[in-house]
Amino acid sequence: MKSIGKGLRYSFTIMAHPIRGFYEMRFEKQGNVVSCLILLVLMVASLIFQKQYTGFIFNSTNLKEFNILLEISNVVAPVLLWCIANWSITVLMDGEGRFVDIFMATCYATVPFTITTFIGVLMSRFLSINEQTFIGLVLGIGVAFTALLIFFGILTVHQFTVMKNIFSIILTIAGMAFIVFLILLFAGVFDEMFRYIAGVITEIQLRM
Amino acid sequence: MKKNSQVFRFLTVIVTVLCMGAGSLIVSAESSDAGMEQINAQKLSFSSYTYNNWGVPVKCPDPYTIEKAVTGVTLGIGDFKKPNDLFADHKGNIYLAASGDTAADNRLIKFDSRLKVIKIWTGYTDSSGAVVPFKEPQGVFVTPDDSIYVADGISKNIIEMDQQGKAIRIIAPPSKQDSTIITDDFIERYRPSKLVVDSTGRIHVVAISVNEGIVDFDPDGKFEGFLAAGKVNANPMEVLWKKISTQAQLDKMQDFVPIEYNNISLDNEDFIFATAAAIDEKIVRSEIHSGRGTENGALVRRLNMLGKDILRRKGFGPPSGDYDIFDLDNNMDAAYKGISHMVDVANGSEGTYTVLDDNRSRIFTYDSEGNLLYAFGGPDVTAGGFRTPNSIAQSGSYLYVLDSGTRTITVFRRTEFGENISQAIMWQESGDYHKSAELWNMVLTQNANYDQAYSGLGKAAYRDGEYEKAMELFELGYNKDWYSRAYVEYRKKVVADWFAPAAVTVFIAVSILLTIVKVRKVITRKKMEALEKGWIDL
Repeated sequence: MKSIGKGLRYSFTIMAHPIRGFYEMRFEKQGNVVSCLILLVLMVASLIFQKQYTGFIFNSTNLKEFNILLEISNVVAPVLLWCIANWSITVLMDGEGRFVDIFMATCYATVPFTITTFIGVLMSRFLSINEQTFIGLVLGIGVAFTALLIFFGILTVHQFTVMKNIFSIILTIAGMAFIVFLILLFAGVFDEMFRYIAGVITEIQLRM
Repeated sequence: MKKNSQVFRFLTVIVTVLCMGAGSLIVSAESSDAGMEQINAQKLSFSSYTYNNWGVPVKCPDPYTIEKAVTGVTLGIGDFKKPNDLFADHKGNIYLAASGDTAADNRLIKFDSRLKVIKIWTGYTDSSGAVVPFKEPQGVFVTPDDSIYVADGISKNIIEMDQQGKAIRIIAPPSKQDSTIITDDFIERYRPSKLVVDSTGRIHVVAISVNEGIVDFDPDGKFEGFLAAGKVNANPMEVLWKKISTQAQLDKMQDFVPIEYNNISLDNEDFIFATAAAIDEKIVRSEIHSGRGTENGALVRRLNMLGKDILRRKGFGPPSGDYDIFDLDNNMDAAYKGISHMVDVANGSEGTYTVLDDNRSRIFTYDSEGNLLYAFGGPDVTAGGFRTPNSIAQSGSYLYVLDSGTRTITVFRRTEFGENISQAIMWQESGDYHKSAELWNMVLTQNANYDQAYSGLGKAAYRDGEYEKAMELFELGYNKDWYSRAYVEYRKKVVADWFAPAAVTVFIAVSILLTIVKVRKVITRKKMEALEKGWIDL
């Protein structure tokens, strides 16, 4: 329990000192996976919170079509995809990070995004339509900070140089696209296969 | 009970059908007068609707009923072969421009507001007294002082005549002497079809297969230039593709088509409403999908004298007719696909405007802010539907729709529901928010799902300074702009009410804190002194 609290608090260390924070996370056993999972849950919560509680003026969510499972998969699927793709690529590029490290770095990097999303929801309840730039600014800072943290997280965890890191990230994105493509392909093929089998079965049934 | 009402409905349908059949039989067999008493306040066979904030159609009570429908045959003046244009003048008289293959078909007919024929012109008398027949009356406009303007398509002339049919002047097509922008090709193509004359006497003409814009003549009938020539919006991707494609590919590609206007109307503030044809469907779709619409995908424009589009688009979506086209497109059985195609616009007296869509034969009425008030009609020739409607005119609470497919003029009269909405908007525009609130409340008793009524009530509450109530109502009406306005006022009030107490509290709290700190400091110092001097021990 104590270690979880410590792990959660560690995200502030990472925000204040990204390079040292990620280095100690990778090589000196700082932070832990359970707290990372909690951070991921918090991110999902922030997005649901945003849909549900953003003030009327800024809320364009149709609550009739709102689906929590979809919200969860909207966060979990990209994170997993990113981690898997990055791990697959960096293993070939002599990265020093293990899968756990990549996952933890990514989760810790989401913290600014989560925080600013909550702040944005709070602001949306006090601002008018003319002041929406402020919300945009806050959310923008969150996204930029998170992107920066992901960049330094991956860089530190694998002990890459900056150029190599940029290259690995580009490859990771390509890898993600490739994985999605494969999934769709397999889904299509299996769909065809099952339909074929179902067709054969009905045929047999009709002939008997 | 339910079964009863079903039986009742079935009976009504049968009775109606029988009446219609009998009516038309009598009419075709006998004289014109029988046609006048045909259908009396018939209900629409398609349900009317509005769109909510999510682009989902919501049924609403019928805003109009059918007063009657007439054809040239039922009127006993011979079939309108090609009915082209309807116009309602300031006194409520209706003018119809019709053409056809024989000389007798090319005529201009004046009706009273109940569609009784007053007068028929098949030509005009020129200055020498000879009667010159119309070649192809495509459009008609009547000024408040009763002079009639006719756009005669094939002869390319615009004829101004008085009520006796005597030509006042004949405005010739633009020639090369008028302007260097006129080419032989243009003179060849030019075929005036619809026109309006504004209060300064300028004549604005929409011509068939002219995409340079609206052809403008000055009050003396001299060609002045093109108004609102469509800008060609090329997107960078397309330009790139054009650069790298081969000639054979280029030939297959669609050209950038500038906007071609197909109809025109004048509102009571002297602005021109024009409907545009051949707008890129992709742009319209993306605007329907997100946002409130812009000039780029506008099917209806409100043009000022410089040709700038000043239509307000503040509704749930762009004023582009139907939104629920995406599902319909996926539905293989759907008979009518694609976006609405506007063919005419008519202006109501309260800043509202009504557009006619000939894709699904529907009629859409918007208020001056671009909110859809109601849509009705449908793609069929049953009551309230049309085959190929091509012109619409409005005069008070009457709406006249011309269907060139069935060659019928249908007269619609506002129901209580439609009348309440129009009255409410009228009071709102003139600033009497209490009267408008009364009417909006009546609208709500007829249709509790009517978003615009909540917005209207919200505006009344806003005027009265009841900002909290206004916010509630605007939320019900899903009006974010006005909600924000009411909220700003509400916030101001809350801040003003609480600023003084909050400031005083903070001041007192801070001073108390500071005093405590100071007192403690003094105590410590005194203690230290005492310690130093050995008065006390630790």
